[in-house]
Amino acid sequence: MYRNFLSSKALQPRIKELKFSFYLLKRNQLTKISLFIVLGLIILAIISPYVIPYPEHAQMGTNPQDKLLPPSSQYFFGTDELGRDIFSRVLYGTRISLNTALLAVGLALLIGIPLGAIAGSIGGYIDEIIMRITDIFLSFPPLLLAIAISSILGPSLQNAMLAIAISWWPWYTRLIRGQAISLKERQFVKAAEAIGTSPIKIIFSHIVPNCISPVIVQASMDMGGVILTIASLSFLGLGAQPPTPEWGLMINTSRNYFLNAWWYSIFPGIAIFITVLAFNLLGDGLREILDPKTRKN
Amino acid sequence: MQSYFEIKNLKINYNTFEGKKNILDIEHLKIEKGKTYGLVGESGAGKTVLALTILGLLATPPGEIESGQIYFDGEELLSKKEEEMRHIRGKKIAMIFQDPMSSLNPVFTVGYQMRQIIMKNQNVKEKEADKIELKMIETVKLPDAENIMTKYPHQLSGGQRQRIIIAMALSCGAEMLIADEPTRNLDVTIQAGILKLLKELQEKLKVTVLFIANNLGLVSAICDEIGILYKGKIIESGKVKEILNHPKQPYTCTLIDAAVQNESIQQNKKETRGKVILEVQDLKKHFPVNKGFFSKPAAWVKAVDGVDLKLYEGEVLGIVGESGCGKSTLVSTILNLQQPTSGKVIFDGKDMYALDKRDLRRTRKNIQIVFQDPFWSLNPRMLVKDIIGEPIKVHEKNGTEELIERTESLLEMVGLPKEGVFKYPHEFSGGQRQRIAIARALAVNPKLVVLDEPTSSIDILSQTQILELLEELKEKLKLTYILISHDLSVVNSMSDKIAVMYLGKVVEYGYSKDVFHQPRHPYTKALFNAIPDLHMEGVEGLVSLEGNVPSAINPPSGCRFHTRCPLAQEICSVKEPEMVNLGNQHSVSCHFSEMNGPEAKSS
Amino acid sequence: MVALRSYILKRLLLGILVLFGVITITFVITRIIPSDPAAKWAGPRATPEQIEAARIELGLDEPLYVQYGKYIHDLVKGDFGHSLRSRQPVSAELKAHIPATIELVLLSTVIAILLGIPLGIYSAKRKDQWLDHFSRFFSIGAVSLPTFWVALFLQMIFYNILGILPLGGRVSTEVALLYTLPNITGMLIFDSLITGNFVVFWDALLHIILPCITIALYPIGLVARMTRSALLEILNEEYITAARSYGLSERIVLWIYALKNSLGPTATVVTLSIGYTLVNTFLVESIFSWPGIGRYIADSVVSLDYPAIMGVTIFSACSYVLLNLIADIIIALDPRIRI
Repeated sequence: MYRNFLSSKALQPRIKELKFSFYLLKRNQLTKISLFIVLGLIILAIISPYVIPYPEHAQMGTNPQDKLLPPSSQYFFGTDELGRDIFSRVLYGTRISLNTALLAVGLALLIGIPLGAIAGSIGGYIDEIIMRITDIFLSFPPLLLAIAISSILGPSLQNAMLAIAISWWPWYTRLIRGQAISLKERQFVKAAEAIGTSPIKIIFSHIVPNCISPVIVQASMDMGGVILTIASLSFLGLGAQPPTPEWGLMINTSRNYFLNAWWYSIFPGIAIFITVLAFNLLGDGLREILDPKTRKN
Repeated sequence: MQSYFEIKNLKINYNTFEGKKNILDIEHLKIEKGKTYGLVGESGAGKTVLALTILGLLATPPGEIESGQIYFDGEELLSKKEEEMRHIRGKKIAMIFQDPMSSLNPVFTVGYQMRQIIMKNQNVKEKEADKIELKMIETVKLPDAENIMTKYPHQLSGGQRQRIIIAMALSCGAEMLIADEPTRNLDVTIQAGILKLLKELQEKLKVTVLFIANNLGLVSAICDEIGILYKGKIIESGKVKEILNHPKQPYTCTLIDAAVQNESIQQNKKETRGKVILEVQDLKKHFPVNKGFFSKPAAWVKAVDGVDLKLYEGEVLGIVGESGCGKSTLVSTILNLQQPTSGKVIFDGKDMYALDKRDLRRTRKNIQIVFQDPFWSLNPRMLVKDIIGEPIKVHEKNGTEELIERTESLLEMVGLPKEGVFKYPHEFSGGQRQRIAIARALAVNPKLVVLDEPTSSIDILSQTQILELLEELKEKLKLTYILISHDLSVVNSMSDKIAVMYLGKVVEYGYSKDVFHQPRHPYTKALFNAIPDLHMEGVEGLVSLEGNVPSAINPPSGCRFHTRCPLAQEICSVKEPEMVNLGNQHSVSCHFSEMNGPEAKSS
Repeated sequence: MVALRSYILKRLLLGILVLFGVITITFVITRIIPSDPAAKWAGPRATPEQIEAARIELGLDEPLYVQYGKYIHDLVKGDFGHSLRSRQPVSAELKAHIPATIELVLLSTVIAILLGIPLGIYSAKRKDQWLDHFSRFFSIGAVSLPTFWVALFLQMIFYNILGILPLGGRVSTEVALLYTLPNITGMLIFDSLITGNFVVFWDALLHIILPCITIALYPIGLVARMTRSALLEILNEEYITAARSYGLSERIVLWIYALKNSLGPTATVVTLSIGYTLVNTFLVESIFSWPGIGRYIADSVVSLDYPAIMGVTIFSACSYVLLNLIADIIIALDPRIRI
């Protein structure tokens, strides 16, 4: 019971911090809207299998007699070449895109953050080696490495996720390393050294918590970019494979019917646009909120 | 009839998270033409905000001018439009900024930047502007003007940059100058030179000056009238002599106390007895320059180049010196936060550099350090209890509840309420944060505490409190201190012994009263005489040193100080002087130490 | 000056090191192929002996370090191997496809810079006014659109519905039949201008508009955003306030001072936009039947033609490294870095 009382006391200042963030959030209309959209998308991703009108169309089911029908009250977005309801498939696609993106970004963070923290905090040879490797990975134009890796690993959604994680981690490493280098000279780090705290503890309880916010911002902005990359890879044939209702894949398939069935290409594209836009706006807004200069005022 | 320059009822606010905060509330301020007015107050946003507001450069999203008028030469400035203000800026009113490094554009040469100003304000073409520029640089006493013009800001020293900023402001040809803490980041000896220059220019060019400072000593030397700014309001103003001799407000009295030199709080200083707790033998720390990945370093920065010290238990050793003298490096090397290049440090009988990892860790328990920057010396993302508790967690095993109790009592020991353990550092003021840092240093009962510029970054009121607290804790807990500061009054009020450093070496060492009242080394003399004293008349008594501090990569041969020493002779550039003991542990390293009679500091 | 030269030298060495790393990574990638390239090479109906022969022919039986050495050696010679589909040397196929892509990338980048930078500048100058809000929304929107979808969408509107622009290709078949197409640089727009053949020029222009706009959209958004934030940061610096305090006109403050300070970020931004335009071509060339390396790699990906894929990868990566090197040198013009 004493423990509970204590933890609520410890929580107070952190709650105050959170309240401050929310205050800043409230002042920014665009960010608020994008936050709601993102939350909505997440909810949609979770519940979609249960709410879409034709759940079997999102998986293996086909419906050949209703193929390529324009939008109607029965099929809101029309049907595709196998008669499947595009509306259901587009909604279900949210689940796929968000899931894969989350895994890809999460994996990239898991690799990138420790590498960058160690490189920046320790310096010396370790820093040089890690940075050279990072530089090499960053020398590939965006997307190119993902294309190369996933074409080698074999076209599948998992491999696309891996390929993206492998292409993305260097950005976080570089970001954290830059922060760590400047934080290393701060007096509270020197104070910890003078106290005798072990180097690992210094890195992970002093340095990392103080440079995590730019990374969070970057990661949430990257969600948009990653979703776009997944769609692009699937469009090229390297990511999701049929019959998975992935947006990029759907647009690719729609090319064959492009002149006659406009609905097939349009709606998945709109879905991508709205999702990526929402994440980008959110990331942008988060950056402003977490920017120490704005917080000082 | 309005004065030449007059401010009436100026109210400026800032919009923050917690609502509107009032920054300035000036009822009345007036300056007659040709006079110098000094505005003195704490380091804070208020004074610069005023300067920017006068020029119409205040950023108005967060800032807000609620009301007020500023009259200049018959015109009201706050009601002017942007285009009209552009005619005032430069030509009529020019500003000398506080930090020359950030107010000079880093990608253009200083020559180019000055040329632009001259061409705009004096309406001349480039060739003509060049000539005027050379003259301006000479006016601020910078030698080798042609060369300076081709340099980028980061290639100049702090003192040179400051003079360039002054030259730039002057080259606008303005009638009125606003000098915003123009000597803030400069060494004392260089500051003296700038003050003298400002006084000279003011007399020659007959400009009106608004001089903003955070220290009464500075303004008293060159101003006619002063105003004391406290919490945004001018609480006292009038002629300099009046205020200094008959201050009415308690805050003014505090400022006066802080500016006055050589108060001997020395009465209770006893001669040291007891054992030697720290001994430093010929300590050297050299940093490599231009170390390529595989190549050998091109040169070495000799930050600490042979320092010997002896510290007795219960003693306070003050280390003074200006920027680049190596005092911070000395301390971090003594603490083994950096590997020494050579030399020995014996703490409590143990050779610091011969200890293995575990023993070193245990020794750390006994030496703790309080840093200068109250903002960044505490992890902003940690609660105070974890900050203070970190040494306890590292060196002792304690349960959570015990830890909290200990941190609470530590916090109370430094005079803060114990509820503070559950707060974040940013919820405290600068002075309070410094107390937290002290509590952290004392958490595991050290024997020696190093105080690295403990009061440099906090306001004047808190400074006295912190120093008193430190004195109290020293007596109570039987501590030994090493106190580093560039602020001589701080060092003087607390230290038993003083060591003066210049360019990596100790040039003078001894009991405070000896070193302070009878400095024997020319550098020490210059240092102590460079600070404007309130009882001084004008700036003639100030001692400024010619030239800049030489580079530590290539220190001068023989005695390092000989390039700037007024007493230098041939032998000084050839042979390095030994530390000579003049009696009573007072040692000096100068060839002419015997001949420097006891010249006490004037006062 | 000496400092600048040694800095460039250091960057060059670093660039070569990075190039090596890039090549090594591509080597590693090609050697962890799950499927058997020898079998692919021999063909779907090959016998085990033929597959084995193919393996020896491709040099896959040798130890890895020998393979690595041969790989580097071949690359330096310009030999990228042979396409599994066409059995032609990849280098020749690359050569044939590169000019078309360069034309597209060049034009799109120029558009991206000509539109993006001014947008960013005016957006920063008039912060929080309607122009700023509009351009910020436009920028974020531009980087949220899937490029391939935009391609289809534009085709739908301009070809399908409005009928004013062609569906794809570089020139229409009639023009190609009636005129011999000039081939100096391999870039039709320039070549036709140089030779004065305005019919071809106009036709080529019509054909390049849609692909250009599609590819340039993302970089425009990116450039505008980065220019805006870089400029805002600079305009908040104390030296800008100081310059204003000396009475310098806004014109000088903005166009001379602030702009030179932003050279570094601008160089970075331009390099990035070239990178993005290049990558966008991979997605978009097949939609517009544009005969560049983008279409080449898109086709290669579908048939998992590894030598071709790697050829494009190596070429693109090396070009990108070179571009970054140039950008680094421009950044080095900032005097602070040299010292």
